[in-house]
Amino acid sequence: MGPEMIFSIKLSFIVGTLATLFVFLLGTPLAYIFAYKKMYFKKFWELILTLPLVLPPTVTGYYLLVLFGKEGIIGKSLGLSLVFSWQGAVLASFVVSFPLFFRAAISAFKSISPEMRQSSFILGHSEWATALKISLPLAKNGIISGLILCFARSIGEFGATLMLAGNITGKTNTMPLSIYSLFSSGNIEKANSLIIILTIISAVFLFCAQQLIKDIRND
Amino acid sequence: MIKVQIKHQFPNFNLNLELEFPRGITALFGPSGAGKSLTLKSLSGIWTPQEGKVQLDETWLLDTQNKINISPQMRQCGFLFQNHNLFPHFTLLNNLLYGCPKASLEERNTKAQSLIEKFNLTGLQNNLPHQLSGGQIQRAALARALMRNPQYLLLDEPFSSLDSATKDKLAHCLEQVLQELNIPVILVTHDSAVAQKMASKTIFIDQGQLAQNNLNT
Repeated sequence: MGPEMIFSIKLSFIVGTLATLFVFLLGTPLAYIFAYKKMYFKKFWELILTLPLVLPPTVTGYYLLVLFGKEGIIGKSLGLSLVFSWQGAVLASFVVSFPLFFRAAISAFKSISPEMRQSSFILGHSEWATALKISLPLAKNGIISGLILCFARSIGEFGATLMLAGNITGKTNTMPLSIYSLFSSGNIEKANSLIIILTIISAVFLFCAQQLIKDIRND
Repeated sequence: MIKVQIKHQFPNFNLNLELEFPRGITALFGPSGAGKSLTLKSLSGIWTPQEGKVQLDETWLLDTQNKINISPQMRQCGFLFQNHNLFPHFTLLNNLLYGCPKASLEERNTKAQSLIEKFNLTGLQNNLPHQLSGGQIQRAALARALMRNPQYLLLDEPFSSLDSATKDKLAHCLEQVLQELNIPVILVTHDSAVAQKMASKTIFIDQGQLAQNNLNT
């Protein structure tokens, strides 16, 4: 296995880990709010947040390019460009995998009996304490299974990453991008090694998620 | 004494009640959907009617006209749900300790230990709720509800899932508690024998309206 392949495996893990971390940090409070709180245009915001689940990743990538490119609305105002950088790959993976976690976390929070939260309030605990000590631990399995799916989706992300971060060897070539490059240049043997590694990783993560979902149903 | 006035218009149901609950046990009777649970929820503060007033002695807990609505956290009420709602990831002891957030750990421990002894739950402190029997769970839930020294106690069909022997044990615990705490207790029950035996007053509500108000003899 050459250094380029090792780099792409490492990069995929870094991108997947960071994207999953950001999804957890942003997605958990958002899922809590969507599960329990009343808000205006809730369905509309939920649709926007889960849209990347059904959009072709290249379309999602195009939107990210429009928003975060050098001349993009957010990129220009913040004075940063995520195009052709590994950070762009993290952003692409974050956006594409976010809905998987978001939906799983909302379901996990909604599966808790409302009386559990009400009991906590009546016992004198604030919303914040109830979220941390009751809702989060009780939604734990759903949240972990959502994170596993999110990580698996992140390391397998291709279309949006290609659009935003490009396919630069030694810089932004994650595993799926390397597979594409190797296959296009006729390096079938090396492509196969990466394909097997990616398949095993995905299968292991999917199995873990299935086990957790089974545990939730049995509870 | 708790005085309650609740008015709430649902699409197919009109809740309009004016009730008084003295110290001691008042049984709240009525068919399913009569508004019993909503009454308890409005007393605890977890549900707010469109119009209403709740007064505990001289204190207003709710007055929608004057925009007073004390949060459930501040009402100092004990609530025993039908499904007990012990937190499944906490041991029995931790469930009790969670029931008194403002006291010091030492005070909470002392209080929890005394309730564990009183309710015959000794030796079960480290058990999770799924490792307890139905009766033990309800007694633990009642003990947790008492951790905050509630000013009133709401019991939503606490006997419904228990066999008669277990029911008697819980009733005995309740009577013990009442002897010590002279507070209003509102007991929603379908069991007329329990109501007759335990309650000093019975209120019958139907379709959101007061149907009968009796003092038991």
